[in-house]
Amino acid sequence: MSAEKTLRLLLVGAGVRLGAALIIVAALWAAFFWATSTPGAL
Amino acid sequence: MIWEIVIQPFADFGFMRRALLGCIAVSLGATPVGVFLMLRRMSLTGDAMAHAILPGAAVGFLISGLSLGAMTVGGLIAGMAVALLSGLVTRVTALREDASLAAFYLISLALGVLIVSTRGSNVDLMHVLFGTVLALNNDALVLLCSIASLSVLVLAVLFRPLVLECADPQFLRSVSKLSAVTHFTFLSLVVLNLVGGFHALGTLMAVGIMILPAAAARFWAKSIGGLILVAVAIAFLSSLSGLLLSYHYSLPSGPAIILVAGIIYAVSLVLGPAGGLIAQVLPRRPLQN
Repeated sequence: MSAEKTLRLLLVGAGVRLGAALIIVAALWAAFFWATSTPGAL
Repeated sequence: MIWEIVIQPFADFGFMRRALLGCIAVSLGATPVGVFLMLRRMSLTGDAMAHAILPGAAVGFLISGLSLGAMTVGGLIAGMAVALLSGLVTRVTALREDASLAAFYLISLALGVLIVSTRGSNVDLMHVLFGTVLALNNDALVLLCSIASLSVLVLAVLFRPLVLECADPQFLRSVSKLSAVTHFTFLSLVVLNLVGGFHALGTLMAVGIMILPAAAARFWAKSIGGLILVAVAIAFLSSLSGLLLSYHYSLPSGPAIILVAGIIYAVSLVLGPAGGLIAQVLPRRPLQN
């Protein structure tokens, strides 16, 4: 099996997982802005 | 009642929100890495690496006090150095990897404690060993969120090679040059997450949020995706419960979080449907056509 074909097989589904990962990262940074900008007693 | 116990501490106090966010970031980045460490039978390697970052962080502390950047860079350099040196010793001598890693981490731990003690106070030493999750500032949160983001993105791309390397590293090595890249990237992720976790939970506790949820998830899920999801959920739950226990009963937050994860592990060990004690004792259903 060629190296390129192997690499392609190893990365099957990476696009979908990357999409899901980007959503998680966006949610994390949204939480960061919420936690650091909401006023609190301390 | 629930509002007062669960929501109010986070609604009223900024430091509680920051602590929760820090723990969520550590859980998102470190726990999936812990699942892969467990699958590769490297759980104790994670523990050894957590101690190995101490002298680097201590040198950073020696140079510029409790500086986030200096301690992070120092920890990263020390962690990677110990990982590479122990690998090198294993390759060129008769010593096996576990013994070589144990030797390096014990030397590192002693060196780190010695360096911090020479200049800092006991309070500084406690800060380095047990972290200060309730005192995370904006810079620390940016670091933790960046490490978590990088880990999640890298794991998403390298998921299949990592799974393959857990199952059959020789096969991956024989069919692709990606094996070395995957292994090195994974080791870097371990060190990076331990350095991030060290700011929140300290060098001694950082590995707890990495390994305990992964070990508990092993009793609830069988697929690797399922393991990661359950482990992250357990890490979130441990963080939330640990912080609330720490708030209401004036307990140290890091140990409280890790102890909750430990309790969830113990419950999973008994009740978990995937190989837990009760599931082992109960008679199995006969195979169906």
